[in-house]
Amino acid sequence: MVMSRDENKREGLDRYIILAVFILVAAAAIVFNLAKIQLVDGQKYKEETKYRLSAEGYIYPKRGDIFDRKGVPIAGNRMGYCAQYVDIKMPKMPNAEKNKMLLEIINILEADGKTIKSRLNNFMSFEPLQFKTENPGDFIKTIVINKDDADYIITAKQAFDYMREKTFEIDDSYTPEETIKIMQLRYEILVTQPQISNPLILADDISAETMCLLEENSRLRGVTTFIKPYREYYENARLVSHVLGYVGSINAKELEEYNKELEKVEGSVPYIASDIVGKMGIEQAAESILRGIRGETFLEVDENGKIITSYQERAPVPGQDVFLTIDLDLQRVAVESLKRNIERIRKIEHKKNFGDANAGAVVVLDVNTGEVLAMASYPDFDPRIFLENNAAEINALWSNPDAPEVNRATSGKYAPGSTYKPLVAIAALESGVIKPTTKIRTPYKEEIGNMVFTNPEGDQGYIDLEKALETSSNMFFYKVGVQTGIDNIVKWAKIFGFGRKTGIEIGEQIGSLASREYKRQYIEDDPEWYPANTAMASIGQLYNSFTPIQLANYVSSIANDGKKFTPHLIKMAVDQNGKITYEPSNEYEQLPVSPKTIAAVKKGMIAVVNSEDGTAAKVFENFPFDVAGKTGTSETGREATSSSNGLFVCYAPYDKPEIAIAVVVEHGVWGRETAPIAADIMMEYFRLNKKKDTKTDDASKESIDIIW
Amino acid sequence: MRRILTNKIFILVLVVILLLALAAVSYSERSGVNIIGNIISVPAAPLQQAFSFVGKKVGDFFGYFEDVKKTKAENEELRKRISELEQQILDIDRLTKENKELKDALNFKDQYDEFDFIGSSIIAKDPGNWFEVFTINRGSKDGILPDSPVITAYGLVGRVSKIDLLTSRVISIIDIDSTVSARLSKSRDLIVVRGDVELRSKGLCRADYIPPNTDIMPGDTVETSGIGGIYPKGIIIGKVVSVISNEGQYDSYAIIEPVVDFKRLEEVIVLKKEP
Repeated sequence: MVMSRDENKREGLDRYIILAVFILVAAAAIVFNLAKIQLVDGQKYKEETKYRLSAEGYIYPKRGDIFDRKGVPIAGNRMGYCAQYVDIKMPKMPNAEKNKMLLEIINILEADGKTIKSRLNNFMSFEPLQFKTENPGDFIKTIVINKDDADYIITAKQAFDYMREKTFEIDDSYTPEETIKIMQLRYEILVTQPQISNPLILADDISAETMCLLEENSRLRGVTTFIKPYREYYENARLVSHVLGYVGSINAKELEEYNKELEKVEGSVPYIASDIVGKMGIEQAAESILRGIRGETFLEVDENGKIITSYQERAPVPGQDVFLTIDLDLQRVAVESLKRNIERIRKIEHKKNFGDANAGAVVVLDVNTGEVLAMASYPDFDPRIFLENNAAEINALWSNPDAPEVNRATSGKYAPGSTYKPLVAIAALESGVIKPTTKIRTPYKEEIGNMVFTNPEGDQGYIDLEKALETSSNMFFYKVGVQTGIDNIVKWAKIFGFGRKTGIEIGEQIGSLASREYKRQYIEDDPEWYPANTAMASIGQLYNSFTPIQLANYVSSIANDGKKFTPHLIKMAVDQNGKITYEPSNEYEQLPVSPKTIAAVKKGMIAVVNSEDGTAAKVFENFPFDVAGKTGTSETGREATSSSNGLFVCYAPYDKPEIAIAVVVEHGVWGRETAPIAADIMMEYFRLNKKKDTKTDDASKESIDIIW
Repeated sequence: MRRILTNKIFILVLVVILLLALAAVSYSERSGVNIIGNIISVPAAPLQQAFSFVGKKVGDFFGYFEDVKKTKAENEELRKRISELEQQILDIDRLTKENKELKDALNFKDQYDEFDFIGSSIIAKDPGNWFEVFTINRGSKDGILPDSPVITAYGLVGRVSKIDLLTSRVISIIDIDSTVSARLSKSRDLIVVRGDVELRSKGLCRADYIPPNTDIMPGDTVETSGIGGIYPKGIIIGKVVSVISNEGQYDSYAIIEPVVDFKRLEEVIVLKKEP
């Protein structure tokens, strides 16, 4: 077939038309799209881009680390992750999609052992389905989507069904358990309305795996994670459980009290309900040092809840590190020896031993600084149970009849027994009743103020102070005490720090002093003071009750010739730049006691340990220096059924004192039985149990090798 | 009528129009990301694919003659290379065998065993210098699923976000919608690699949650951790450029330079989970 020109021409025209149509259609498609984007959906997109919410976020600071005096770490921080949720407004997520997403989040968190808290549980229980509140009306108001619907909801079942079908539209494909979980979280979201400025914390301290799952999974919209330093206690922490204490969530009362104090400081950052604070020990005492100050970040989020801008608006200030005066090596010896000796004492066969030694405490002070080198209390606890929130262990601790949480070194109150005798001697010497050389007749029996007193040491004839301390002669001190008078004794007891706080940083008890004042105040049926009372008070009985820290500081003041330091546990605090921000003053109070008096008392105390008749002889037998000390066996008033308390106070070396020690073992039967604890501590402190080769000087060759 | 139907040009035009209309409609309905910025690029995107195809073909044609000359010279060079490579192949065969034996001995299951590798080309991208969010020529037809990891021979690119029949959107690791659970290859510490509003304009991303005292130095490699549920373990993400500690803050963050060049990206591989 041959085409005519005309036909050819028409063919050409057709092609142009076709081309034009093609171009038109293509252009139309473009214009259509443009129009749709700009005109039809323009408003929506504009709103979406405008949807930029900004808020302040927190930057959590680390809490100050805690070290021993040599820098061995005791408490520190580890990094933990938290999950939070922000409800996304734009674009609104359909209920079905939201429920599915939330269940996925719930499942991820539950696999990590976390349960999401929901206030729905305050109003409803699910098995059986019933209201937990007397007046569910207010609760129902929070769940209805139309105000009028509230009138039709009467039973818990109706409320449940309403939430499932109307409020949250949880479809039937979910199991009853899943439905409840979704409902609980949806309700919490409903009442919280979590926005970027008030995110809903879904879970605290989630695992790294959970964090990764939540972060990487982009379908989980609105879920973000953040990090927070968490308190961490190392293995060593157990050795100093009472000194360290522990931390916990701030309670309403603490929140109010701390913030009231902070209000007075300009520019201070208040505590918030999710903060942790120290609850005991140094953690509590040094709260203001250890506490870090949280920083603030400026956040901006887009329509998907995604953080698009974030910068540090106020830098957090990390808590300052605290170095304790405690020497962990010495502490370990103290802790272990205390435990070992309590167990040993329990097994001693004697009619006076009821095998009930169950607790004790020991304090070691540096006599030249007042630093606490070791402080142990038995039984102890593991501070880590509080970090783990281990409810079973915590409950077991609180219900333990031996009260392991009590720091007996500062809060245990014990009659000092014969360890009080050096104090009575000081009072007697200072008030001129006796001289160091004065010999007093100490018979077996004597009547003092209408009461017959006997001397457990028998008739000792005429003895002086040194012999009296050495043998712990009760009769000597009955008589000298009565002559000195209770007021003089109390005066000197107060000078040496009894009957008041020592000033140590952590919590401590005051105890009590046997005095006229005390009897008048507390003994209502017989408030009058008798000479026999003075006699009893003079051997450290009656109303005398002291803490081990008071006893240690008293011995320390004798050892260093009347210098009374404030015992302390914090060696220094250091800020993030390594600058020392706190150091306790090593100032001391010079007690108004004459050197002669001190010398006489010291002579008696050295005899206790070193003479044949000394009550603690033999324990320190092979030491290369002299130890001065005093035993004490204090009656608890229940001697028919339980053993007496055993006490021992000492210091060493005699001629150039370095450390003072006070030991108490509850139901320790005799004071002398507690002396080995002090001996163990001295061996460690003076390195007596270390091999010779650790010392390089020649003098050490002469020191005696002690096999313990 | 019959003539019109058999007219090749007409059929071609009809098909093109249909395709364009189809593409335009599918775009207008599905793309929801960064719309305002996309006013120009989105409606033009279907055309873009057609133009880039035609342009490439024309260029190829003219390049042909010039190439012949070059090719001759290269031929000689390549023959030499072939003999070298043959030797290398022998080595590789031996090493592969050894590798397999050792893996079997260790009972080591290859991370990638469960994936099919789907090669794909980039056909469109959002405006900007970098391939932050882009479109590839594979879609649900090819069995691609949402969240499928996307890599190149060098390392991690990102993940698939939205899928059409024939195309998919890929969100790269420098985009602010991207979060990758990662590890420092050396210290094995877990970190999180994110797109950052400021860094993305430099083709970089940031790694958050670096614990204090972490052994991390510029130049250290960062790889996927495999525990986030989306990316398999051990894909190289990039290298640490610098580590930054904000004042007083407990953790630090690092700036990461991806190993993938997000300025020049043409072909990518989608990891498709085997059913």
